[in-house]
Amino acid sequence: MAEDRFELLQGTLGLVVLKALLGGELHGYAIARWVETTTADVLRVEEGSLYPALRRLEDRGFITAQWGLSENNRRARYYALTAAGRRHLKAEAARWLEFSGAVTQVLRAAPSLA
Amino acid sequence: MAGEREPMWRRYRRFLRSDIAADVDEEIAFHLEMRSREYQAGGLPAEAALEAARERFGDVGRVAGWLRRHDLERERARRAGEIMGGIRHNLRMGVRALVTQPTFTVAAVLTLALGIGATTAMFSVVYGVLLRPLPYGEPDRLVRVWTAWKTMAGRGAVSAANVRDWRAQNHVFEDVALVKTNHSFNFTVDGEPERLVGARVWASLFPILRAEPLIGRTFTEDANEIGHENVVVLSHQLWVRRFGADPSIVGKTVPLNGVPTTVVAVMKPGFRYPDRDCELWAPLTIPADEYNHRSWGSYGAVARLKPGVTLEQARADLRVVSSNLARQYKVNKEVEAGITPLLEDMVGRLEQPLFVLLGAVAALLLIGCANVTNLLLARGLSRRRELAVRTALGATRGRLVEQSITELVPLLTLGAVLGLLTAAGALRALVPLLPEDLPRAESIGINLPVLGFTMAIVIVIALLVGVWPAIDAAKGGLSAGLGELSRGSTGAPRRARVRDALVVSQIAVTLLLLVGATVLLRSFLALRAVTPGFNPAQALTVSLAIPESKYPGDAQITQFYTALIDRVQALPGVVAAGYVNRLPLGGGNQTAGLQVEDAQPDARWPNVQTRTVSPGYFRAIGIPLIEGRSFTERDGTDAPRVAIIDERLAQRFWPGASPIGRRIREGGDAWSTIVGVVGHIRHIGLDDDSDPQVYWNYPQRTQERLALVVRTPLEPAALTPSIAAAVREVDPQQPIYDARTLETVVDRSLGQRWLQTVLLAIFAGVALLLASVGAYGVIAYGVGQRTREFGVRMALGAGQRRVIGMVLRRGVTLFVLGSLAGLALSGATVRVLSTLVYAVAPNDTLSFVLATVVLFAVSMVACYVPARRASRVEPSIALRSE
Repeated sequence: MAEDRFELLQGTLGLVVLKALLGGELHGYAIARWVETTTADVLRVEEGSLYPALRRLEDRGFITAQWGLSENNRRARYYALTAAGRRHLKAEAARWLEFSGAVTQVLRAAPSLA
Repeated sequence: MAGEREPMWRRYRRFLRSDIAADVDEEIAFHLEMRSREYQAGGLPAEAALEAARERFGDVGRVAGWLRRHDLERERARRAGEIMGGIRHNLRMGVRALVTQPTFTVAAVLTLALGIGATTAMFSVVYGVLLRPLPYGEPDRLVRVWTAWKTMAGRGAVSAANVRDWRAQNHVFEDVALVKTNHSFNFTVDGEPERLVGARVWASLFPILRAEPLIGRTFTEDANEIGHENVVVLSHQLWVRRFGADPSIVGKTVPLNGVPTTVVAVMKPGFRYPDRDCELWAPLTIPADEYNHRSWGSYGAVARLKPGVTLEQARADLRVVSSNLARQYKVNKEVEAGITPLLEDMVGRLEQPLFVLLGAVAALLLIGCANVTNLLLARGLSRRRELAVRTALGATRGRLVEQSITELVPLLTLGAVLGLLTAAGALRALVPLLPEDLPRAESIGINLPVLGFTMAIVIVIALLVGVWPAIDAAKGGLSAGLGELSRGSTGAPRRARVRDALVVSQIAVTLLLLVGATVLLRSFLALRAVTPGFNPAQALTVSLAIPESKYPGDAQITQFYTALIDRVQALPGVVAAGYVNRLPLGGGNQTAGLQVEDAQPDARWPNVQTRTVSPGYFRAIGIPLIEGRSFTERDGTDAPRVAIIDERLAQRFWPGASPIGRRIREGGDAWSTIVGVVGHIRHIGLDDDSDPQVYWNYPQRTQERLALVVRTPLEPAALTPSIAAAVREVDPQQPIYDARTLETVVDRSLGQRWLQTVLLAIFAGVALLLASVGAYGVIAYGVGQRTREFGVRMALGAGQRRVIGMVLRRGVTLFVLGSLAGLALSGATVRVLSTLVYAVAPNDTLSFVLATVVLFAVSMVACYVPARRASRVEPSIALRSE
């Protein structure tokens, strides 16, 4: 468990979850694991806020939930992306990239920090 | 852990209703388990791994709590949406059914509208007249105070002396007011005389009724003193009508009875006392010497009980007061003070007729409901498959009933709206027809309590007609439903029995209404056949009330009336003319105890009707002179006092002898000599033949208020203008009122009976129509079901008559069952008519027979139509038809 990990910024958890589900339906633990693996454990999902975030996405119609059997034959709740969720992810991702690009640009501008 | 199975009961529970809290726990547990496995794989021991997983997760309890609350809330919203969606769906189905089955819709909606409309209209009459609180503050504490004579039943008028003493000595009244209602005032504006009905009242009346004026102040106690009485309070209606709502009217002087009178107040628009005809209130003054005549009085009295005092407590206190007075005054030995709640005093006599009519209309509604149920049952047949499938899929009976009622909502809404419109229309047509003496007719209308009542009956109808078809459909279940769909089936016998039972009960209730209507009708005809003892044909009557301020003494009054009668008798077309101070059957009453000279000293004074008449009266109204002579001009003020009695009094006191020359008097008066005997007439009502009659000559016992009766061979009403002109010649300021033919007077005296008879007859007629439609529907349906059978029978040689006979036999069976039940029902309930009938017993055999015959004839027609159709079946077509 490395020390230099980042908490997710406010509001980006939903985006990350949607992205995680883009590859197919997953249960909550798998979503958390996917984020950790994808970012090589740099981004860390606050698990206490993961499930409320899933509920909110469900309420907004971006994902659906369904009980199913896990890989080890346990009852688990699986989440899947809806068409609306897919559209939302696309739009939000574009916005995020534009925003972070702009911030990066600012930080790289002269006079340089390094 | 994979082998751990969830317990069966939880699965079952989840199947019925998702178990939200358990699901949340399970989701979190799964997460923690997966994480701890990961840590275990990394080398941690099981316990430490779970601990680390929990730590990683954060506050498990808080998150689980949030999720539970969220999920429960979401579930609740989902269910609500589902229920609303279900109701919306059923309503849509209901509307669709109405549109796609117009015949059914029209028949059912019209039946419902008729039933709901009639019931609502009748209830609004019952509510407006009987139930609605009086329009005064705290009306429950208002009572009428009356004289209870120990020797006579009924509520007697009160004397000023008694009321003064009761008022001073009681401990239960907040206050008491003496009133003289239905008092005539002559009022002239711009030379046009008008007779107004008003009341003379004690000043305490207004505080007792909690009546505040719109402008000005009602009069104070000293206005009841002689010399201060020339003030008047106007009704809002009079103020608007005659004074153009002049805001500065208070303080102005108006000519009332020829005397300048100061207007002190105008009442608010809704204020009425004692009824809507009363347009002004003036002080009631009592001359000092009147207080010496304790038993004489023709007043009414109203009182307000102190808060918390019950009627019983008040009666007990008044008994004490009355017995104290009886010790003090000899004449008070026969007298007690009686009280009755004011509303009951006004409308108590109407309770029975109105509730009978409401009951009749409710019966009508039930008959209509039976028809609608029948229609729904018939329609339900076409939906058997749908309902059967739903039942098979697990819809509970409650669910189906709910669905069936929701589907009825559009039908009932239409029926209720049309019904309310019908009721409003019926009231608009009916209220002006109500007899004039019906109290509180103005408070009849469609208001909130009436709407509440309508709503309640609609709900009852929904339960009555919705539940049965649904239960019926649900009971059948899958097998019956699908089985019945197979071609050629003759239908479930049980269903046919339900429909037969409905027809039988319709026939029973209809017979009840028919019997009631026939009894009332026979009673009414008996009453119409009663001869009143005078001749109402070819006679006109006009009323006059001359003001005492203008004609203060007997001489002036006599002069006025003599001058007038001379002119009227001279009019072309007038055969005879005369006066009477209270017209027979005109609603007025005047009785006295009569003393007969030379009778045994202890003999009880007979109660008689006394009237003041002019010499020409008997000829004008057509009362025959049996013995002796009528009054003449010579029986004047200074001549010896004379009297005429009716044959009944003559019979009673001088049977077989002539009463001419005998002497009689009202208590305390001078003796009058009997000069003639006339025929007995009915004075109070055609149904009331109680008291004998005594007549006095008008100059010898003057009256300010007289009704002129004129006999003519012409059309009587055509004489009104020339009589009005004659009155104006004698006194240009003198108005006349109530100009009507004598026949109208007789008819009006039967107004209430006429109305209740006509209404009950209409209800019975409609019931007959609905019941025959119901019987027709059931028989026709049965014929439709048996078309094939009839075809076979006819192919085998059965004649048309035989087929008709077969169908009719079923109708007769239903009729016999229904009428037996109906006769039993009638026998048990017609007693409620006992106070409404005259000369006919409520359980009048002829009425029962007539009603049964009428019902039989109509039901047979209703059955004959489908029977005839059955007999016309072409065997070949019938056999092929299915």
